Order: sequence, then C-alpha cells, then structure tokens
Amino acid sequence: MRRKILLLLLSLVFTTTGYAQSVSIRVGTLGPGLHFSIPVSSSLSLRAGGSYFAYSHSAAIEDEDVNVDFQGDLDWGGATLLADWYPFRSGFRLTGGALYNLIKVTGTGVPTEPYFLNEGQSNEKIFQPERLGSLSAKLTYGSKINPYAGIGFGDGARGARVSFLFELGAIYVGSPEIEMQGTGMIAGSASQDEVLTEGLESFQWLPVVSVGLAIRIGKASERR
Amino acid sequence: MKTSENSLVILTVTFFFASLSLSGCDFSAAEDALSNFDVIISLEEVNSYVALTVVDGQTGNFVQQQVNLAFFGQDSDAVIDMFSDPVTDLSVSGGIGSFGIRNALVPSDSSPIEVRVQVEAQDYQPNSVTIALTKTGQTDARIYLFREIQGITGSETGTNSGNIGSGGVVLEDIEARTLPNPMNQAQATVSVRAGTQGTTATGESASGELSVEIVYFTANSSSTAVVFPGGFRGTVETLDGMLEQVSFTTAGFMSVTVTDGNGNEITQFNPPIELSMEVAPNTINGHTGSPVSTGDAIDFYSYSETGGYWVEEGESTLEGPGSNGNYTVKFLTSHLSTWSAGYNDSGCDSGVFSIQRNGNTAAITARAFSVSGGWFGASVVIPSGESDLTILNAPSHLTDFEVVFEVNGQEQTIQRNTGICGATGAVAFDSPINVIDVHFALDLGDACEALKLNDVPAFVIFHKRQGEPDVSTTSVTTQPIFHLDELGRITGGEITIPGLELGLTYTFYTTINNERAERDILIEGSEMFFDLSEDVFESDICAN
Repeated sequence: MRRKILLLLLSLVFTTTGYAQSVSIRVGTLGPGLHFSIPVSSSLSLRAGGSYFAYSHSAAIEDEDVNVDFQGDLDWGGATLLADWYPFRSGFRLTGGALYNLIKVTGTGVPTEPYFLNEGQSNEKIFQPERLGSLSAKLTYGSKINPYAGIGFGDGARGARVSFLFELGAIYVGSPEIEMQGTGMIAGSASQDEVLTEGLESFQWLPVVSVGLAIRIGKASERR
Repeated sequence: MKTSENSLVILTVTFFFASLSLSGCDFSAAEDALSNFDVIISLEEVNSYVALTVVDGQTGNFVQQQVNLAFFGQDSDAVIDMFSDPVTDLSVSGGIGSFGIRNALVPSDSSPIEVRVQVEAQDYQPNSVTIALTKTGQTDARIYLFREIQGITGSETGTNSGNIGSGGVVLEDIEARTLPNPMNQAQATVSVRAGTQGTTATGESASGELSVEIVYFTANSSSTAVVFPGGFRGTVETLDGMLEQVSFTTAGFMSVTVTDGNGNEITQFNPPIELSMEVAPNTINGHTGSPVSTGDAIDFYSYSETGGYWVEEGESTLEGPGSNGNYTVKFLTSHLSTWSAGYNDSGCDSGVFSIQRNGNTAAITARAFSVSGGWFGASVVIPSGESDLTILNAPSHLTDFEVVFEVNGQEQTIQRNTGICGATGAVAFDSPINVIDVHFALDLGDACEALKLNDVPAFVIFHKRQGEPDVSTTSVTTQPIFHLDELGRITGGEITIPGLELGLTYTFYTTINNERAERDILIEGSEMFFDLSEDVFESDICAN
C-alpha cells in the first residue's frame, strides 16, 4: 500500500510541470546527499533533498595529568528545500532556500587513571577515576531551520542527460550552543560551556561546497 | 555566454565571497576559548569542621615539627579531609590544621559529634584530646604537647640511676624523687628494688646502668592543667574493659621513664616497682565530694599512648598526712606509662555564663579551672558574634571553679565556691579602643595552568598579635567568600576579621592541605589586603 502511494506521489511530481525533472547525487561539506529537482519555469527550478553524515570516534587521549577515554559522535547534514534560478542561458545558477539541520556534535571524556595532587610529597592526594567523574559536551544550533544561499553550475533538467554539478554556498545557522554536563569531582568544569559558546559565537555560517552528478528524467527542457 | 553575462557571473561570485568573508569567523577567539578550558575539581562543601592548633605546653608556641593526628572514638569514621575523603589520620604542619565531619552527620547540643584525637610529634610526649562538635560550622580545638625531658611550670623532675647485673637484674635499690613542688610541697617517687628484673620493649634483658626519670605534675596551674594527657573530658577503660566517656579530675599525674645503659626503654619489671605520689589536702574526693582524708580511696590510671585514653588500674588508699600536710598514695606497677591519681564521673554541664562584649567583637577565649585541689581544666573559644558560654562535661564532684575570659588583652573572671553543674554568671568587658573589624581582600594568585579548585572547604585563618605566644592565637569562624574567574577557578576572596586593633601588627596563619602560610600585617584601616598568592595556592592547590 505504502509503495503504491509513493509511486502515485512521484508520478504527480514528474508530470506536474511539463519540464524534465532530474535527480542528483552529491557529496560535499554536508555529507553525501540525494536531491530531486523540478523546473517550474524555463529559468527556475525547485529542489528538495537531503544530506547526512554520521561519524563516531573513540580515542585514548594521553595527557600529562590524567589520561582520558574520549568518545565523540557527529551527526551532520539536513534536509533542504531550495530554489535554483538560472539567470543566463547557461548552467550558472543562484540558489536560495532553507535547511532543516540535523547537526549535533557530542563528546564524552572519562578519566582512566587517578589524578595525583602533590605526587610523592607528604600531602599527596589521589583522586581515583571513578571519583573524578566525567565530562560530556553537546554542540547544537539554536534554530533548526536555517536560510541558505549559494551559487552553482550545472543543470540536470537542461542539456545532457547526465551532467556535472558544482555548488558553493553558505548556511546561516547562527551561533552554535555548547552545553556541557559533568559528574563527580570534575562536574564543575561543565560551567565553562558558556565560555566555549562565546568563543564560537562568530561561527554563524556553515560553508557548503558540493559536487555531484545529475541525471535528467525525461526530455530536456528548453532554456529561456 | 555573452560577455555581459560573464561579467555578471564574476560580479555575483565576487559579491558572494565578499559577503562570506565579511561574516568571517573569529578563529582566535575560538582557539582562546578552547585553550583556556580547564579541568576544575569541585570540592564538596564541608559543613562542620574543626580548626585545630597544636601548642607546646611549655613555650605556648605552635609545635613546629610535623604533628600526626589519629582519630578514634565512636564518630571517628566521620572524619574527612578538605577533599571530603574519609581519613583515619592526618598530618599537620606548623601547629595548625583543620579536619571536617561528613555532612551526613549534623552535630547539635543534643547529639554532639565526639572524636578522640591522638597526637604525636617528634620530641614530644603523645597526647590525645576528645573534641566535641555541638554545632555546624567551625569548632575550635587546641591540643597541648610537652617535651619528654622538659618540665613546665607546676611540674618537678627527679632522676637517679643504678647498676644492672646479668639477666637484667637490678643490683641495688634505686629511688628517683622529684623536688618538692613550690606551690604545695608535693613530691613523687619511683622505687626500684634490688633484685628487680627489667625487660626492654623487644623482650631483651636490661643491661648496663639503669636510669630513672620522673616528672610529676601537681600544681593546679593553667600550664599543667592543659597538658593532662587526653584532656579532662576523655575516655577511660574501666576495670571490666569497657571504654567510657568520662570527666576526670586529678590529684597529680606523673610520667616515668626508665632506660638501660643502651638507651633502651624498660617496659616490664618483675617484681613490680612502686610509684608514690603526694596529694594535696585540698584535693576533693570524687566519691564523697569532700576534701580527702586518711584512708580515702583514690583511683589510679595509666595512660595508653597507643589508645589515647586512660586505663583504670585500680584504687589505692591515702596515707598520711605527712609533715608537709600532703597525703601519700602508693601503687605497684610492672609497666611504665604516665600515671594519674584522681577520680572520674559522668560529668555535667554548667549553666550559661553571659558576656557583655561592649564592642569586643573578636573571639573570646575562656579557661575554666578548679580553684582548690582536684584539678580539671577546660579551654573554650567563644566565636565572634556569640556572647555566652556553657562548659560541657565538667566533673560534677568539684566544689569550686574559676572561669577566666580574655579578649583584646582584657581579662574578666568568674569565681564560685560551688559546684560547676548548672552554675551561671556574667562578665562585662570595657569598650576597646581603636578596635575595628577589618575587611580583607584575599589575593590567591593568578589562575594557574593545572588543576583548579572552585572551593576550599574548611579554610581557616588564624591570627594573633605579633610577638605574643602562639597560644593566644584565635581563628576566624566565618568562611571566606571566594571569587572565581569566568572558568570557575578560584582567584581571590574576601573575609572580615573582627576585633583587630588599629596600629598593631598581627600574625596571620592559614593552612591548606598541610601547606602553611604565615603573614605579618600592620592594621592600618578597615580595608586591608592579604596576599597568599606565592605559597599555598600557587605551590599546592594549583599543582604547577
């Protein structure tokens, strides 16, 4: 049943405008993605798609004070709804739209060895790892929906059936927010999340660079 | 594309990159934020803690050697250090220190926390004291130590020696007798009879020359009362082996040391040796509540240095009086220790002694003694802001007492010819001249590069007038307000110390994790500066 509904929706999309649609695969700073493009006029296309990239990393960090086991997780990308405007009779386009970002970066550090205060002295103090606790951090953006602007080359709906795509742009995501939490004796370190957030305050734009291939579906549309 | 179109594309791309660069990211700010990130140790606040001073009973100055504290008693498992770690022992340097009580225990008058602290330092005889916390916040405690070979005011020393034959057998009678005490003519004697076999702590027979040294504390002076081992409120092991908290009085106590020619201490004698103490006739019989008389029984106790409490050895009978008016008590022992002849009971509390401070805002020290025979002594600090005193756990069989209050160089005394139980009284101090409360800004140094703290629990500042003996030192009962930098690290603080005299120089002390700082500061106004940046905080807590 679901499959039938999906086919029905796709057929509506591909037959609505009278122009050839295209599907493209891309890879770029937002990760690998898949986009569908529908021309709505001779110089304007609507494009919907998404890119997503997830990465996890574990590491044993050696520090002169305390070695730490680190676990980091990255969720990157989002869903986009864009308009491509081809102002010339060429593949050059101006793009605007919005991104629903799925960006989240998390990390947790857990000390793996005791910390020695005044090591070897009469007032030596040893803090065992389980008492030291752990620190975790999460980076997100305040707004999930962010405007995007970019330029690019390549037009899947017009010209060759398979075409090369290049896109350069930026997403305004606002300042990232870092939220830290801690347990044990080092829990107080989490209060520095405000300082870190302030330090990253100017990082309000995410650069977007992507390349890809577009496959036209149907007969090529005429450029203006 | 046409030329105009190309120009437009180039213009558009240029504008696009220009916009991006204008919205550029501040990488240096990000780098600073990341590089400044520090791991900060959060220490749990310690709600109840003891500010401790360890004083040489003879000189009145702090014991400078490292002092080792060991904690005993029913609440000893509640003792923690500044990091909230349970501790069974602790080292104190420079005669000052502090320790805390687990926050799970809340001391009060109705359920005090009692910890017996056993104290050892090189060149000093061990001592112990039972510290009772009856409130949260700071409780002051002072422990006195005295050197083994030095007498103090109110004590007399005697020595003698003799030869030892084979098998550790003493060849001649050896008697060591102290000089008569100038205050009451009382003496003490140790008699080792010929034929006595002496054995060292390692089980070897004594050899060479046998040396006997005796120190007898008889007079009821403030200096001798404070060195009574274990304090007058302490623990006794009863004849049936039970440990009980009791209040002591003593007619006198003596420390006996016997060594052989190799310097080994003789710890066992066969047959036992005889100890004799003279008891002043005004000593109150703890059983009858009247002055002692011929035939009265008196308890004798030996002090357990390992346990930090008195062991009830039995009782003896008073003989005499002799020509000097003193009675004599004798008993036999096969081991050596510090011995006391006296009494104990369960103790009682005084009523309330009220104090009119009249502007003397500093902490007041109060010392309580029995005036006539049968000593006890108590030293209490009345914190700034408090104006009454209740003496806890005083011996209930006393028939008189005296309480001396001291602040800003003034003394006021309450004396009563009654028992101390429920006794009340009032004293008033004169208004002090040039005495002010001083607000100190604490400089604790720049934030360092290693581990940081966001609190220093049980942080105590002690002070005294410069040049006075350390025994006059008092502490500030208010915790400083610590200032934190944006990362939560301690960089400074402030504290108000009441009752300081303008134009005088005071010596201030503090200690953190056994690191001690000392400063002399001339009081020039109500806003002063206390620089601790170069020692305890930089060297210890920051762990650079």
